[in-house]
This record gives sequence, structure tokens and C-alpha cells, in this order.
Amino acid sequence: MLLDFTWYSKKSTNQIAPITVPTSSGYTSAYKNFGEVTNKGVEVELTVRPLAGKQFSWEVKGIFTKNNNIVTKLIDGVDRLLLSPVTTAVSPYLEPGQPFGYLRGTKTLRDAQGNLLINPATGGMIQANAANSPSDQYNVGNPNPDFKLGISNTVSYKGFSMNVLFDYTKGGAIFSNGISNIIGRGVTKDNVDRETSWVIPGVYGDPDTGQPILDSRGNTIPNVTRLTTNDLYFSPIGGQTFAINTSTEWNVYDATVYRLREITIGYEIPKSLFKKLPIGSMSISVSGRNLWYEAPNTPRYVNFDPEVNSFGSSTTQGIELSSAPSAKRYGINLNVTF
Amino acid sequence: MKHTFKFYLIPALLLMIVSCKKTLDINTDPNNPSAVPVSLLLPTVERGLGDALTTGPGNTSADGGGLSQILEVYVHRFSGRVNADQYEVTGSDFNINLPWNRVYYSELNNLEAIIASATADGNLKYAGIAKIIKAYTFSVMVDVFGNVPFSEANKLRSGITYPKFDDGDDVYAAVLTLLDQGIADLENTTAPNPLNPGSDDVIYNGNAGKWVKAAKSIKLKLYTQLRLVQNVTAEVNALITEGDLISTTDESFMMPYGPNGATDDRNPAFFDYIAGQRTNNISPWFYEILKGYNVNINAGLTDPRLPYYFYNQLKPTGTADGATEYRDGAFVSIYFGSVGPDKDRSQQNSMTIAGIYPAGGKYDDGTAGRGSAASGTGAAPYRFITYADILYLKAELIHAGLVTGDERATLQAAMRESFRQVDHVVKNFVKPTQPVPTLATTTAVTNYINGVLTQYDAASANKKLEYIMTQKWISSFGSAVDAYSDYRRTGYPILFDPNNPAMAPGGLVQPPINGNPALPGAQKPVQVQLVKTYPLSLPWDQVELETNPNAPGQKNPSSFKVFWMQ
Repeated sequence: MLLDFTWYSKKSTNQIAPITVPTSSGYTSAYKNFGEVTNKGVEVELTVRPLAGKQFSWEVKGIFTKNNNIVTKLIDGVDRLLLSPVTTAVSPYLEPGQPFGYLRGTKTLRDAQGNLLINPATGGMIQANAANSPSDQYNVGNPNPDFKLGISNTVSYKGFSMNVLFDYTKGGAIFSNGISNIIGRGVTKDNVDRETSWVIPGVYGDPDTGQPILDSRGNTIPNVTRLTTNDLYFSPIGGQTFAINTSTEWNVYDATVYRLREITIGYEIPKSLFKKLPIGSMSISVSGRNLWYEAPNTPRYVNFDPEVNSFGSSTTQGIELSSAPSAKRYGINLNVTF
Repeated sequence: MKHTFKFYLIPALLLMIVSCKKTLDINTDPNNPSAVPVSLLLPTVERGLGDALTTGPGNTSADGGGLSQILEVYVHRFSGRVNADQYEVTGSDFNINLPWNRVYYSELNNLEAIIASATADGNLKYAGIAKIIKAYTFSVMVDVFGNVPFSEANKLRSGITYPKFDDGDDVYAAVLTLLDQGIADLENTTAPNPLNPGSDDVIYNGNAGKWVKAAKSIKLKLYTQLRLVQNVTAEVNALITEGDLISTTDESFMMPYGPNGATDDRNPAFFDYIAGQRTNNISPWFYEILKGYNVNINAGLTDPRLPYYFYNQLKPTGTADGATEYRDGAFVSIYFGSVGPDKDRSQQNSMTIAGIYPAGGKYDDGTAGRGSAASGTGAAPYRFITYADILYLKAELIHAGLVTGDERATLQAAMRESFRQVDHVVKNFVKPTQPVPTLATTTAVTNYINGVLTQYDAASANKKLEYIMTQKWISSFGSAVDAYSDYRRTGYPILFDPNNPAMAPGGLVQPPINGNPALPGAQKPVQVQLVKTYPLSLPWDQVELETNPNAPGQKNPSSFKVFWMQ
């Protein structure tokens, strides 16, 4: 049994980086030394060998990582910086006290009790904008995961070996344009029932003032305006629903994902089989990558993979703009040494 | 061995000579010049200004339009399944973001570069033209957005990263001064002017006199727009008495687009002909006024500009792509604020689209057919201020009592000029391959003008202003910025309001009952709705607000007035 534990706290200051400046300055970005970012986290690696015989061995290795990346300081006089302009619906930002590259976008209005405000004319929700609420844009998610866990099992018996790698990523937000379009255009079984009408739970509100509409006794009025399945996912004019043409927050999903990352089965061919040939050793292995995953908090039949990201390993994370889906890969590996 | 050595020495020496001549210039980027001749910058800013203001259905900088793409819906000449329907444009709208960036990132940068380099080199004609374009650009920014960055804009290199937003009246004052400076530069007889603008000035071909007239015409427009908040009698009378305004059709201040030749110079408005999904319907409100269907204004008068303004892809009895919401024979469209069941149906090959005059598309000769890239040249100009506009401004000023003159005769001249303007655009700019008849000299035009004047004569004083502003609104189709300002200043033309029981009784509007050949006598009424009140200005670009800590919070467009509004 082996335990490796790392705890770190790193502070980076005065990094040189381009900052987005308003175009009214005549430029789109400028390089500056600025800011302070902290990275705090733990990495734990635990290796257990329940069996370690001459013929049969089994090893389990677990790796747990957790990293908290927080922006602590920007330039004086600047509350918030656009990290990179992605779309008008969602972009990553830097803001003191917030996670690095958190996502900002639009939200829908709620009353003080948290009930959604519904536009009585359409039965759709009402977007928060500068006219009816403090701002157009809000924090809609942190793309950085809470933690990651990887477990690998290695079993070997005589010449055979098998390695199974299992991954678990907890938390993190992903804005998915892909899910929005798949659901909104009705090409998934998630909303196959198109003969029903729906009522969004909420209370009636005034789109101009952003306040709930009250009846003569001063109570809020529960929404009873029905929507077709079509409108429930493709926002009607004057109202917002849950997929297309709606506030950013409804297209942000929890990126928790369980994944069978890899299985490899190998066999070391006994030397006795080729002792007459000028070969030192020979082994064959079959592997499969990304064989199964389950993102429990995304629409079931979309089969969305939260690891799909339109911006690769850049600082822009948690934004998927109709990217190609991830693939399963199979491989056969023959290794011969002379 | 000796020979070989000499043999190698020659190229080695040559190399040394070459390398000695060269200094270490690794900090100079040969691919991105830091100084560009003013003659290359000038056509860029002229076209950029047109692009920032025109219509255009796309969402790339090539086919995407400017502010008119929103404002044509706000002044009810276009309709469509867009955010501008319901007055719901936000600061995140593409047609806000694109013009904003064009003005600040492209236009202003290049204009400042022209002004600085031309002033230093004594090329005052270039400097004067750039100042006039800059002044006009920012007058429009104020008209549309209210308060905008101006005094601190484009000063990153002098240390201002986050420009403040100036009040509209301060920008207007600066703009008027800038126009005077531009005029002075153009009229400076002692300037060395080693370089004079020629064909690189795509607007006026280097004609300084026309630029001066344009500058003075802009001033007349700005003072007219100021008339509700300030006494401008002296200023407008001085300009009119001086007589140095745009005074013929071909002096009109316009951005001339071109065909798709060696470079694609088409007006972005034309891209609705090419689009896989067309965006811009013609508002039935606009159409009905031109047809004489509206009982309130121009009733019973058919506007002879109809085939120049709209192109019907269908013949009057043709089959539409699907069930239509609004049909009047060949004309197919949807209502502003519609929630009808047929609003969202694709009418790609049957909807009526902008014609030859506003978009350089097809003249509607009745042969119908799908709109395509081959339908026209796309070379319709974006019209900043035309001679007709000057006449309408005069008529308005006479009506307001600021200027003496014959209001009726001025309106008549303005209408005449509006028709001539159509011929001028078709003949000298669009240059279509199909035969297009001359419009202004026809008896239909004379009859129409006389018909309008008869109604005008019978109208009350306020209604007379409505006739003037409605004619101006009809005339400016395709260039919506001034129409939006005019409506907010004067309340005319009367625009469609789904909440007005006279226009939509019980929330329903009735298209022409016999308009749909598939449903004779039974075209269905359409339900319309509107939650928001009329937007008094456009929201600021959201990216600007998110990146500029000195920017104000986003406005409520329904209540944020431009300073010249009462």
C-alpha cells in the first residue's frame, strides 16, 4: 500500500496577458502585467495491491485531484475583465473573488421567493435585462470541476494482463449549444411527447418592470398559460423557454461525468512458441478508449459528452458550440522486440 | 588551392555587402504596415460608414448590415422574425455589436490616422473630408444611442483605456465644430495639398465643393433635429440663405456600392437575395400606405414606386411555399408583432423582398421568379442625405415656423425630387441588366403627387406635417437612421401599434380579405401583440459595457431619450 499526498497553494502575480479592452479605446486587446491568481488544491494518490502472487497480481490505484483556481486581484478600477469574447450569449470572465474564467450570460427573472416570472402574453419566461433588473449579464456557472477521481485496476495472470481505467469528474458547468439545438429542434427522444401542452411553474410578471403581477389582494398569480411542446423548447416571440433563443442559464448543464476511460487486455506470448525465430519478446494487446460514459445531469437521450469543448485546452473552458461528439477508439497493438 | 579560395571569396564579399547595407530591423513588421497612405484609407472609411448604417440580413462582416437592419423594423418598413419585432433588440444583438465595432475600431481609427497624417503633410482636402465623415458618424451615434464615447475614444495610446461616455449634447457641439473645421480645411486656398483625393474618394470623387455642401447639409439636418430643445432659427436661416446646400440630385451624400466584380462591392442589403434563409419581409404597414389602403394617409393613391421598392417573387395567383399570413395578390409578408399560426412558415421563394431601389435587387416587372444572386447587381447606394432630404427638412422648418417659404411648394418639390432620386439610383448606380422604365416623368407620378397635395390641402396643420414626414419616410426606404430620428422628434409617420384598437381591434388585424388567391374572400385575421413601449434609443453594445468600467449601466431603451427629444 502506497499513499502519496500533495497539498499546494500557489499564488501567481503580475502575469503578462492580453486584456480585452472596449473597442471605443480603438483597440480590442492590450498586453499588460496585472492581476493575482491563486491555485490551491490537493492531489492524493493511493495504490493498493490486494494480491501480489507470482502468477496472479492485482493492483488498484486511485488518484484524486482537486484544484481551486480563484482570481484575487485585477487592475485597479476594473471590476471585471472579459477573458475572451466567445458569443454574445456566453463568455468567460475574470473577476476578483470568482473562479478563473467563470461564465457570464443572461438569466431569467425570478421573484423574491425564487419563482420564475412568466410573461402572461406568451406563457414564456422573462429575460432579466437592464430595463427590468440590475444588469443584462450574470454569473451562470463555473466551468472548473469540483474534483476529479481516476481509478485504475490492473490484474495480471501468467502472461495475461488487464487494465481498466475509470474516471469520475464531479461538477463544473458547461454551456452547450449542441444540447440547445438538439432539444430545441426536436431531434431527440427527450421531448418525443409532442401532443401535450405544458405550463412552466412560476408566477406572472411584468416584462417591463421585472416585478410579479399582483392580484387585488396583493398576492402573486400562479402561471396557468399553456405552451406547446414546440414552444417549450423553441422560445416563442416575447417569451423564453428551455432551449433555443432563451437565457444562457437554461443551456448551462452540470458537467459531472462517469467514464470508462480505457480497457487494455494484453498477453505476453511465451518465448517457447518462437524460440527458433530471432525474436526477443512478443506481446499483443487490445485496447478500447472512451468505451462508456454517463453524464447524469444532461438530457438523457442527447448522450452528451461534457468533455467536448470548443476551445481545447485554452483558458476558455465550459463552452461547447455544436462541436463534433467524442469518439470511441479501439486499437490492437503487437509488440515485437528483436 | 589559391584559385579555389578566390573563387569562394567573391560570393562571400557580395554577401557581406548585402548584409552591411541592411540594418537590424526585426522590430518592423513588413506584413503589417504602421503607416498607410491616406488614399488607401479614405475608401475604407467611406465604405465602412455605409456598412455601419445600412441593412443586411447576415451575421458576418461581409453580409451583415448595420443599424438600419434594426431600424427598418423600428420604422415599420421591414418586418420579420427578428428581435426588432416586439422592440426586443438588446445590447447583445449582432446588429448593435457589429456597427459599434465598425465605428470605434475601424472607422475612428482610420479617420484619426487620415486626419493626423493629412494634417502633417498639408493634405488638407483629405483632412477636411475625414473630419466631415467623423462628424457625421458621431452625429448618427448620438441620434441612435444617446450618450456615446467621443472625447476620450480611440486614445489607448495616450493612456485612456476606458473612455467615458459623453453626453449627447456635448458630442453634438463638438460635431458642429468639427464640420466647420472640415469646411475650413477644404476651402483652405493656401494649403500645399501635395495629394488631392480623386477616384479614391468614392463618394464625391475628390470634389471639395460637394463635400462642403454635404457638410453644410449635415449641419442643417443637425440643427433641425435640435429644434425642439434649442432655438435654431438663426442657424437654419443662415444655412438656407447662404444657398450652399446639396441642391441637385447628383450632389446627394451617398455611399455608392458597386457590383460583385474584382472585389465584392455589393450593398449588404442585397444579401437577402442570396441568403439561404431570407430575413427581411416588407412590413404590411408600409406596403398598405404605398398601395393607398391606409384610410388615414394617402388613401386611394397608388405609389408608382412600388415596383422599384419591392420585388414580389410570386405572380398574383402564384402558389406560395406554405400557408401565408399576409397576402395581397403577389405580395407576401408577415405582420409586426404577429403571433399568428402562419407567421413562422418559411416563405423563402414566395415572400416579397426589398427591390431595386433600396437593395440593388430586381425591378418588379411582373415576371416574378425566385430572388437570387442573378436578380440584380446589388449596387444600390446607402443614402446618408439626399437632395430630397434637404427639401423635406426645409418643408419641416417652414411648417415649424423657423423659416419662411411656401410649405406646399417645397413638399411638392421634395416629392418630385424623391422620384428623380429613384431614377438617379437605378440609372447611375445600380445599372441593372433588365430594362427599367424611367419613373419621374410618368403621368402616374404627376397624378400621385397631385393626389397627395390635394389631401394635404384639406388637412389640418398637424396633419400637414404628417404628410411631409410620411413622404420623407417613404422616400428614405433602405436608409432608416433619419427616419427613426424623425419619428422620435415629430411622432410622424404614424406607425403600426398592435395595442391600438383602431389599428388592431381586439388584437386582430385583417389583411385584404380577397388578397389570398387560395382563400378568395376569406383571408384570415391575424393576432398581434406588443408588450414593450416604443424604444426611444437603441441599447448600447453589451460587450462595450462589459469591458469598459467607465461605461454606464445598460439603459432601458423604452425610456432613455436622446437629448434632442422633448
